[in-house]
Amino acid sequence: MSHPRLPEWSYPVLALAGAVVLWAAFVSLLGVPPYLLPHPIEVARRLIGNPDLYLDAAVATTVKVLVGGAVGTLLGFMIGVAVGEIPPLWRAILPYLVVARVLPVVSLAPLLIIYFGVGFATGVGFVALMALFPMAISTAAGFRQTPDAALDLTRSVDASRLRVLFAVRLPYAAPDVVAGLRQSVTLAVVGAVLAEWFVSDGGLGYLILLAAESIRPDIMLASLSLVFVIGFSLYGAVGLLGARVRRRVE
Amino acid sequence: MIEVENLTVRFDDLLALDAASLSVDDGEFVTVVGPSGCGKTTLLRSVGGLQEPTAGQVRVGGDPPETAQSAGDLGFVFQSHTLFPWKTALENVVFLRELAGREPQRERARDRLTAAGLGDAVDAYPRELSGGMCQRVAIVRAMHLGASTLLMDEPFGELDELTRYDMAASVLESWRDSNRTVLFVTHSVPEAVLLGDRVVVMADNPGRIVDRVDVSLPRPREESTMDTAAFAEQVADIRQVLRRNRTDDGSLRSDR
Repeated sequence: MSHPRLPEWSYPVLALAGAVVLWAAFVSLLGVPPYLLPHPIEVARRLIGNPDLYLDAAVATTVKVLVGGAVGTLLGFMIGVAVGEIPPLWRAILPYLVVARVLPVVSLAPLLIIYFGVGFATGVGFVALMALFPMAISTAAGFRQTPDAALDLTRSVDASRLRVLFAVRLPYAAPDVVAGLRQSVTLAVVGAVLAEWFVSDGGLGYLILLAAESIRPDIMLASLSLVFVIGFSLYGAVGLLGARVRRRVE
Repeated sequence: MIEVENLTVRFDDLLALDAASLSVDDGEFVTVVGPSGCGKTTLLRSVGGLQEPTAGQVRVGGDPPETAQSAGDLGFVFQSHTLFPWKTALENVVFLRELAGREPQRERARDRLTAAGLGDAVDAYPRELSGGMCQRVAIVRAMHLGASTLLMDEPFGELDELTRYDMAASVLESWRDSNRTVLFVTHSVPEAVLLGDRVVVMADNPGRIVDRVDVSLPRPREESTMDTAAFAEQVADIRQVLRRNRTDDGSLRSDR
């Protein structure tokens, strides 16, 4: 029995549609009161009814994600390159990088507020901190991907270290760098929403916080759906990049 | 010219190479044959400056191997082709020259690939080529580097029987036109005899040179040379030397 194969993207889209239908059915059939769980159409109505509010908040969050994510991934990448390129550094700080991942970065938030105050810089700093570690670890790990024989080849012609770094080691590390980027991007979105909770300067996270205080799950879910859209778009973009990179190195 | 004097390499408790001495003249094709773990790869890597000797010394063209490396005077071909997967055959061939800080000479590289029967593969990526074709590209890459010394470490080790001798014949052909000095490591006696002016025979435990056999077969040699009685005789002689020095006690050994 042969099925006509659906395109790859259609599976998650169908799953999402199915989840929304189940949600709607659950709410309608059981008569769940809207202050506990509103109907999906109610949530959509919130979004359409006040587009400026949500658009502004989404833009504010996206800017935090992009700026903080850029700073964090760039720093993480540089740390990863340094650690990957200098073996003693690898041995010295890799354990801490790994442990730092299980450390809740949220616990550093009060410190950031002391340093940067309650504003944009703190949000960006927090997002950057979230994005930094996976990128650093993945990049460092990527430096192990260059086959020994390839390094022998570069040694046999006494190739310069910088040349080998850019022309050989980084291309071999690229799939891992992208894998790190994928994790960093997702965490950057989480970081942006969290930052908006404790900085309270706007954005979707702030909107969720306000909605929670006035027990408005419809507004919360409307905001959350936009967070989801942002995260999914970024993840998808990195995924496309990753597919291209893997094709090259395989 | 390659000169190896009392070269000893020790890995922890393992004496990989025990006081090996060897001299290869300019333009000579010397093959090294021996069982796994006899130190033949270690010998080659030491000559190429990839392995630091514990004792003894190596000279390539009168200088230490590191000098030859910097001068781009060592062309390595490894058992695995070591082509970069994100570069086409042509890009791989010119890339080694670029790494060595030389002019890429793209057109020349294209001609070399075509001459090696890789005309259709010039713009193909390694994943699109067979193992034999990749190794051909790697050999062309070593030739294109312009090194006067070629060091080949079982370059046909991962290829099937038919492809091996086909490749051997094409290596001989390109060597004939180039007057390069070649040190070629293999565990196949027929391959060593077919290719070499001289065959250096090694034994293991500890890794050492046990004999140097002059190959009296006339050149040019081709695949059909392997069907002659003289060839069979030469192979039998070397097999005998190998058997005499065998210490196959079934213990595990590293290949280096």
